[in-house]
Amino acid sequence: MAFEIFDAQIMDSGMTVGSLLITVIIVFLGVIIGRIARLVFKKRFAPKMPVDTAKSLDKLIYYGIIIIFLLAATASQGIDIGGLVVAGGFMGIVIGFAAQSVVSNMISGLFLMIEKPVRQGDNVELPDSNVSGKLIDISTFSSRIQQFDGTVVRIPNEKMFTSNIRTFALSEIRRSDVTVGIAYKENIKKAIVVMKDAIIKNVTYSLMEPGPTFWVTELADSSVNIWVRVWHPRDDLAEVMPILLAVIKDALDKEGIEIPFPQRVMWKGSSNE
Amino acid sequence: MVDDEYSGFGQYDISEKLELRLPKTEINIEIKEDNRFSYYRKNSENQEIRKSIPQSDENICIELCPILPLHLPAKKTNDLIFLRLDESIFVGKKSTASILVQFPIEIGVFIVNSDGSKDFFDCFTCEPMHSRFALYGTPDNGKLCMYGKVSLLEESTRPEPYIFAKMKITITNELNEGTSIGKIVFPVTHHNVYYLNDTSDAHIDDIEVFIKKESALKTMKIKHAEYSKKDSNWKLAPRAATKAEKIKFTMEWGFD
Repeated sequence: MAFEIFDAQIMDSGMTVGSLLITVIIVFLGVIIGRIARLVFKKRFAPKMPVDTAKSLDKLIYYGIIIIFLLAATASQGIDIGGLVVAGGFMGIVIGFAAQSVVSNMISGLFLMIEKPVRQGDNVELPDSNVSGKLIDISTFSSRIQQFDGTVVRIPNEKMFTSNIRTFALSEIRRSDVTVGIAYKENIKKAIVVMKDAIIKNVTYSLMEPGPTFWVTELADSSVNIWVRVWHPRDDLAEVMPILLAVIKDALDKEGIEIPFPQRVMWKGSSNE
Repeated sequence: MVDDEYSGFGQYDISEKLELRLPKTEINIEIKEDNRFSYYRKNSENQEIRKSIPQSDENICIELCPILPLHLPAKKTNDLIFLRLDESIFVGKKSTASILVQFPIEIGVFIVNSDGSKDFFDCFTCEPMHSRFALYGTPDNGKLCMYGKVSLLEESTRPEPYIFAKMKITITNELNEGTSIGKIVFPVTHHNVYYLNDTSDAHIDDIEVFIKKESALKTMKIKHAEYSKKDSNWKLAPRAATKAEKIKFTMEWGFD
């Protein structure tokens, strides 16, 4: 008597309560197996892979197993997916119109994963959005960038995909530039030698080859401006930039080379001159 | 041979207190009342490192030895070392030449366990100027390497103690023209470092260099070779965190 309920049909669809229950159990089983597979993958295989590949495969394994179990469940219970596909297609069009941006974000996320203009873990900059930091995740609808101050910015995948992306990940090194002004009376060659020695000695992360380079860029109002360019390992900006100007200033001070204040010489004329 | 004022490489048993002196570096290890070994290191820039070793045994043994220069200022590279020769070497066509060069080292401190195994405990350099980076290749596709500016040595000359080891390089030029070599870049993790007990003498495995032409490009293939002249007095230094990996690498972005 109690089991009769399992044979009851749901709204004349040909599906019984029992078959629906079995379908749910099989899908639930799929979720559990998906989670176990995900755990095994994360512990045994992911550490040996690049971070972005590992994260993409992790998602693929989890959702792939669930989809396989879902299909197996519907097939084993004789549920006709044809109707669902037709209904799904129709619903897809309706939802597509209603949620264009959601779909667009999802597809952009897919393209971001396939094209890989940037990888998870890379330091990136989106100049249009004034966002820079470490790309920590590309998920279904959005990407998350952890800025250098620790805050996390969520960017819709569509915006991420269509933005200009500046990344340092393709090269193992990057360059940092600063401008230093010395007084007009100073010997430029001597100043360059002093700065170069100081950088090589004190900025541990600056590369020895290619070494620091110096360009005289401007004969400015108050000073001769020299552009100092230092190469260093890609992720070590914080080891170089905070000390670079201090090291240069200390070295110039020690050698008595003047870094001038902005100054203007004013001439006062008279009418009979 | 060790300079009188400095401690030599080797193992040290510590029962109460141990003081080690190296160029620009001082190490003190002593037992505290709670049976804890306290480790203190100070370098030339007055940076201090303190560590503790809670220990149930009454004695502790440490090994001070040369290690590969891959850890300072930070482990960053693909295990490549870039040796810039302070004078370039000209190798005539179809000829072979052998040279001895300085090879930069770091100093490792290992804890020797009762079963003979060794745990990497600390590492430092006696000359921070030699813990630097360089790029081999162009900025868009070059390889980040550890960097050492090195001099050629004569057979009887000792390299600067605690800063350099000795390395033999055999260069074979297979080309029909003479070639100048100003830099050598190669993966180093597979190389062993050896030292003489109670001295500052260190030696690293040799390398064999072959200059070839591959599709109109001059390349330099570098092969690892065991230190050929080692005898039973030379002791193999334990490895630090670096894994011994044989990596294939060919210099194809020039070697002037």
